[in-house]
Amino acid sequence: MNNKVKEEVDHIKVPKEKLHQRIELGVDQAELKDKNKKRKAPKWIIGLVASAMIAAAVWSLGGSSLADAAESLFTQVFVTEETLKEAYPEEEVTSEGMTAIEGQLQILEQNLSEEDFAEFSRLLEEQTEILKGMEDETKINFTDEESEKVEEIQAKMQKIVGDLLD
Amino acid sequence: MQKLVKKARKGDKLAFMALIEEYEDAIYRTAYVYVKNENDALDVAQETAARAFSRISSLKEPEYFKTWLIKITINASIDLLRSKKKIVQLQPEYHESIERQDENIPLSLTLRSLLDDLTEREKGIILLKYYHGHTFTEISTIMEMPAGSIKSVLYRALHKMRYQMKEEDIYEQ
Repeated sequence: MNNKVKEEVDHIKVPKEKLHQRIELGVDQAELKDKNKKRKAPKWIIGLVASAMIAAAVWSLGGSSLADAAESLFTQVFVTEETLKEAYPEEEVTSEGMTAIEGQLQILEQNLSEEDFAEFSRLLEEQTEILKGMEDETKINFTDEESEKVEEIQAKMQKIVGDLLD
Repeated sequence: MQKLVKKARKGDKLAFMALIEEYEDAIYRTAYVYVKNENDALDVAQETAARAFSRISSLKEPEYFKTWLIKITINASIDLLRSKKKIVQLQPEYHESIERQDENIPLSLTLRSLLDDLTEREKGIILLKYYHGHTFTEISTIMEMPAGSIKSVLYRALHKMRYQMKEEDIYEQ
């Protein structure tokens, strides 16, 4: 059986030229895919960015340049312009602040898996909703319940980023 | 070989092509045993080349390049068959056309039995043992199964092939 199997399998006719072309095509595809892969930031940058996002994310936004940023990643991913205005009616957002947040988000998007980034985004959105609904109209003091929820969300965010840094 | 693998790991396409070229036929024939037609075997070959080029940095021991490549081929073949099964469930007429195509290819009894009568796992083990010439220990590593189970599957596969060939002999007489 030993020789027979080898002999018989060797009889399978190979379309040499086509095969070589397809192998080359496969390598080309893989090469192109590798080139298109997003560049990864060093771990310390990811950690820094994530900490910044987790600690202060939405607070640092503030208000008014939202129209310019309407199409930004932040507004596409997390919240609508209206939601932000509702959440931070008193805040004044500078375009620099918006750009900084935008940059931080892009670093996270590039370094987290699609699934983790989606979950991170969802958590951030959830946090924004809590901020929006804060009982304290000055948006400074949390109630115990709000505080507990925000802490829970932030722990989940830290876990996502922590897994990446492991 | 080691130099080429080293270069390929750094993304050197020419070095990778030089490495894989030697095994193109083995990739195609292995794939063919699983998918049983030229077009799909070519698809598997292309996918194997893509996966191998992307993952060559994970190849720790360059001397096992061929073994590693054949493992990728087997996995790519099984993946293609599974994806086709899903499509076939939606389009039964497609399955019929493939079967008709196969009937037109003259094959020896051994090869026909290898293609038609064995499960994916049995095909893999028969190929690795008798076509690629691997030891039970090597097959055990490639298939991620204990060597004892490999032997049982192999003997069962051989028994099936012999039985099938005898049956067909009787009908042909």
